[in-house]
Amino acid sequence: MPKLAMFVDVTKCVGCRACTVACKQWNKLPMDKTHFTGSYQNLPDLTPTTYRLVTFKEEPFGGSVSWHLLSHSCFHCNDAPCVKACPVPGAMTQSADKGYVAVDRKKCIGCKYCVTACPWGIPKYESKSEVVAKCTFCAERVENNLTTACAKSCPTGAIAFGDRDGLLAAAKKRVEASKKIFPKAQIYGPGAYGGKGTNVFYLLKEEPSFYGLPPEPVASAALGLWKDVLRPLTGWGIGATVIGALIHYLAKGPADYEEKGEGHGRS
Amino acid sequence: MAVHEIQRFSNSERFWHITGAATFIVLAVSGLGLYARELSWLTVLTGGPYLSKWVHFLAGLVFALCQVMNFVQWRRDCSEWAEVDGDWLRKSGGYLWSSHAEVPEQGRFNTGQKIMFWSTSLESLGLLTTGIVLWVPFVFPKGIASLSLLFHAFFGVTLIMLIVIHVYLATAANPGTFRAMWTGRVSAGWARFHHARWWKEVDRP
Repeated sequence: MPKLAMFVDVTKCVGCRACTVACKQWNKLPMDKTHFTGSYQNLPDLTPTTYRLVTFKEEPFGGSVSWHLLSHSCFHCNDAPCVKACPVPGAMTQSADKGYVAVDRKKCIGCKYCVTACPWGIPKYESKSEVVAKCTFCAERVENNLTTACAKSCPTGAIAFGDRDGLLAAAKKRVEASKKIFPKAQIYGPGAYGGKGTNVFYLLKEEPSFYGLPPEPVASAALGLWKDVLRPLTGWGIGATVIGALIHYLAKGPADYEEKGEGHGRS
Repeated sequence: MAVHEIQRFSNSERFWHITGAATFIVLAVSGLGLYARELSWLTVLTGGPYLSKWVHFLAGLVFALCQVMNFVQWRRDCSEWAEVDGDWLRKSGGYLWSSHAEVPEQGRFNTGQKIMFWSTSLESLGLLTTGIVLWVPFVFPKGIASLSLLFHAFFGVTLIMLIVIHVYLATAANPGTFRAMWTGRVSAGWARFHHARWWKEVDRP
């Protein structure tokens, strides 16, 4: 089975939000209460019950307004930091063959390590149920050879779903064509983590920071030091302390004192 | 010629230390169980991964209180530093390359105990602050939360190592020591051997 991916082409997005509705519908997620903030954007950020969101960045354009749209959700990173941080077997896992990352709500204990580990802040902690929620890549659909709900619903083809290599090649072609109109057009995602990349990637019209995305997404150095350095040393450290005590006992023996019964002082 | 005993620790000293010790064991087991996936099996001892999260959180609060009280009750005794402390260190307290006879007479706590007091106190403070961040990571900047994950693990592992040493020295390595904490009393011979300066103060009114 080839690795699966989604390619989001923001130049094709018209901001209809069909993807967010389809996502809610398939995942049976309730509506979040919204507040009018002067923007067409529904919510300021993803929530435990909103896995996909179209962000609207408005800019003056001629005498009117230009929208910069970004339909975004989990990036489904290769070698995902959230999976690396998760302490419960099977709670946050990566599909070995297809590459997507999903939470098992039954196993998640709500420790929030993944919330800290994700460079984009995608997993959202729900305090009521004490679990973390995020895009599942429509695992139940994908495992049955269906496309993701958001890709299925997209009327302009801005969200493409398919095999990763094919989509990467299409993205590369598309970015060259887009550069004629959007000189800063670039592909975002496959270069993340020093090239390990993500399984959901974007064609952006502007710099990533324009959309509020980190230009160079990396897993924090602290996560690496914890899991790759401290973790392997832990067993040795505690083991060496115990064995050290044992060797000391055998070599030096207990510090025994003579009980002198005369009792100095008050006896 | 009855062997007479000396009161070494008061009831409140023992209460906070023993409560701290009990919660520490719970924290070490649940903490290692929540530390990495391959150690998750340890959480069977504290009710599975989910309950372990709460057990670790609540035990952590109790432990923090115990450590604050331990700090308050022992900070004066553990802040007396003198030249004999350097001498104690040079002779490794008689535990490694010198014999006990060469070690200078010690007060209520010896140099090693004072170092143990300060290192465990500081590590506990570090565990409490990073632990608070880990409980509500989203209210802190991302960098602070990431560093807290790393340092909570680091302080936890090194505190376990320190406590292994502490328990060994208080039991097998030094007979007659454990009951100082358990019953509060030690024999005069023990006191003279381990804490001669203190023994002279308390046993010779």
